[in-house]
Order: sequence, then C-alpha cells, then structure tokens
Amino acid sequence: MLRGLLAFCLFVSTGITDCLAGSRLLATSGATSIEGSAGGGIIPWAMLAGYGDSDEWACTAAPAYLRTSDYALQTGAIACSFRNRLELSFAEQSLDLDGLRDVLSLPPEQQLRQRVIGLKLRLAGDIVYGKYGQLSLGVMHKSNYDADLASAAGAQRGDDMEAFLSGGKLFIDGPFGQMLYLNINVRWTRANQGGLLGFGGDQDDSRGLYAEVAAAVFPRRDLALGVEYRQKPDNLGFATENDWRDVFIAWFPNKHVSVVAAWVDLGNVASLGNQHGPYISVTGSF
Amino acid sequence: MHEIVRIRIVALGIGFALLAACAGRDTGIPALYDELGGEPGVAAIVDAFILEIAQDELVRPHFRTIDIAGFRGRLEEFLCVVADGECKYSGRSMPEAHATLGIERAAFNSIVEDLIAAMDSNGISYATQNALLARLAVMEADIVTVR
Repeated sequence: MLRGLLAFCLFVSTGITDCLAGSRLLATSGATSIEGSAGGGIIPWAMLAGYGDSDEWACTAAPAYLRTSDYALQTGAIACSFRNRLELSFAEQSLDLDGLRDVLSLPPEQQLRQRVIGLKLRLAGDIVYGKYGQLSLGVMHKSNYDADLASAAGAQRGDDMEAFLSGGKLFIDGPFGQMLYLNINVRWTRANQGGLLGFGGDQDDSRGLYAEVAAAVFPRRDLALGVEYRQKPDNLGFATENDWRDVFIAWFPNKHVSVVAAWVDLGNVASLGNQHGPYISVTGSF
Repeated sequence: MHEIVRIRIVALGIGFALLAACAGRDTGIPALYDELGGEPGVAAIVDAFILEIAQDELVRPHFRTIDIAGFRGRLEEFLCVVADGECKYSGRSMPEAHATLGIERAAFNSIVEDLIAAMDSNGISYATQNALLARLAVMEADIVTVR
C-alpha cells in the first residue's frame, strides 16, 4: 500500500508540469505535512492543500523521507481541497525500526505503520487577505497497522480520532520587508509519537491540548526559511516522549512543485534518545 | 492538562503576539513613493502593469469597458496616494469603482501577480514591492465582490 502510494506520489510530484494550477498566490499552498494535510513538515498549517480558490478544486501528492540515527520514516500523502473551503487528506506512514530491532529482538520485517485520514475546514478568513489570517478546524482518524507492538509498549488502542484548530497569517510586509508567515495550532490528542506507537498509554489515557507553532520568513518570494515546534503527550511508561521540532527551507519554483528540506529533532523515541536527522519532501500540486 | 503545558501554551501565544505586532509595524523611511521611483517610476510601473493585464486571460475581461487612458491616470494618482506621495486621487473610491464589476478572488490574485511582474520588470526591490503590496492587499475586501 505505502509503496504504491509512494510511487504514485513520486510520479505526480515530478511528472506534472503543464496541468492547470489554481489561482492562489505562490507559496500560499504551503507544503505537505507528514500527516497528509497541507502544512509545514511535522505539523499541519491553516491553509488548505493546493492553489485552488473559491471556485476551484486542487490536489497535492507528496512523498517524504526522514532519517534519524535509529529510525527511518517514509510517508506518502494525497490531499485535495474544494473551493478553498474543505480539504480531504490521506497519508500512509511507515517507520523502520533499525536501531530498536536489536534492542527488543524484533523480527527483521517489523515496522510501525499507520494510515491517517484527515478533514480540514476553513472556518474563517484568509492566509493573505484576512485581517486576522485564516482559522481552520481539522480532524484526523488514525489507524495503526501494528497495534500489537504498540500495545506491548503500553498503548491502549490502535485507532483514534484527534482534532486541531489552526490559525495562520502571511504578513506581506514583515521584518526587513520580507514576507513572514506565522502559524499556531492547538491539538486535542493522546497519540504516542503521532500515533506510530498507538494512542493513550499506561501513564495517561485521556486526550489533552497541545500547542504547535511554526514561523517562516521569505527572503525571496519563492523561498521560505522557518522553524516548527510540536508539543506532544507523554503517555507511555516504558519510554519518555519528547516534543518535536525542526528547521526547514522550502522552495516554490512554480505552482506545480515545492521542495522542503529540513533538520528534524524527534528527541527520545521508544527509549532511544537523540533522534534527529534530515527530512526531505516534494509536493506536487495540480 | 498539566500546569506546565498550560504555561508553555500561554508563553508561546504571547511570543507570537509580539512577533505579529512587530511584523505589522510601518517604518515608512524613506517614503515608499520615492522607492518606487517617484512620478516617472510609478508611471513606468503602471504602463508595464497595463501590458501585463492585456495578456491576462482572467483579468482582461473586466477591462473590456474601461477607458484605459483614464485608468492609467487614476491609477498613477492612486498608487501615489497609497505610497504617501503628494498627489490627489480624483477617482472613485475602491468599493464604488468595483461594485458592478463582479470581480472574483481568482482575478484579484491574478492582478496581484501582474503588478508583481510589472514591478519586477522595473527593477523594484522585493522589500519595496512588499511594502506596496501590503497596503493594497487590505483593499481586497472592497474589490472582490464575488465570493
């Protein structure tokens, strides 16, 4: 499933050159977050996928890859937005457990995989023209395919719903005359490592509110440099879970493709500390 | 929710509010009108802008009934006033001028891109472009009437 989706994403994100692009301004589509929804890298942002405006629909497809010292995360995502009002997204994630395999004597093919289906609704405003930016409401349904391993680690379930409110605004005339984008989310969740280690835990099984923020400056109209921070629950007794953070550069050569390169710090993941490394994602828009 | 989490959310919120306030400030020195090249600079931008519009499939239909010579003069005055130049704008207000044109967001975005192209071709710096675009972007609500 993931392999097929990745192949499709790669095909779409590299093959589309002369299809219809929407009318929203360059870069206001954002990129694609690892959970499928339009965003930065590790968190969703308030904008909806693609460049479609009030009378258009638009879709994006994006493969992404993150490598840390003991893990590798592959994701494939597709998202479509309708009339810049509602976004539907679908993502498959697969975490390779290179480092953990020896520690826990896991079978060589063991991975942690999940599917994320998301809905994001633009409640009010606009990223560029809204006086107070844009406010969106998102819900995600996550299904972990490897719930047995997650429950052995203390997770209480392999499927769950979560929700987030996301506010974002592009300041056209930001500091030093550069465009500045700010985004803040509040997410209601009990996911362990985003859901890859299931939902709820032996320490805490209730959902809580967690903040996620992103800030990016545009030294050029097609180039963004930014940071993201994602607060996370810490529900499992067997290992501490840390907040995620990254620094990224995003390039928007045209309205059909964008490339994000980042350095992501996941902190402690399933008892293995200091997990940080490079991230690359390519989003094709059509 | 843990107290510490709540405090961190509040701290992040305050940080963002400060950043946002900083981002919205207006330095205004030197005058934006001068950075755009004064009267000849704005005239050249407006001429390039009209050429861009003429090639823009989304925007051109809205100009079918427009007197281009009059539009050129009014737009030069308008941009002068918007950029703090010493001019008087003799045209109608933005809501009045666009009330019956039925402009949709797609056309508005497209004309923003035309203006950026016109400023690019006249060598206007990215920062100066953004200063002008920010002042024009707030007029979107007065111009786009089809939602």
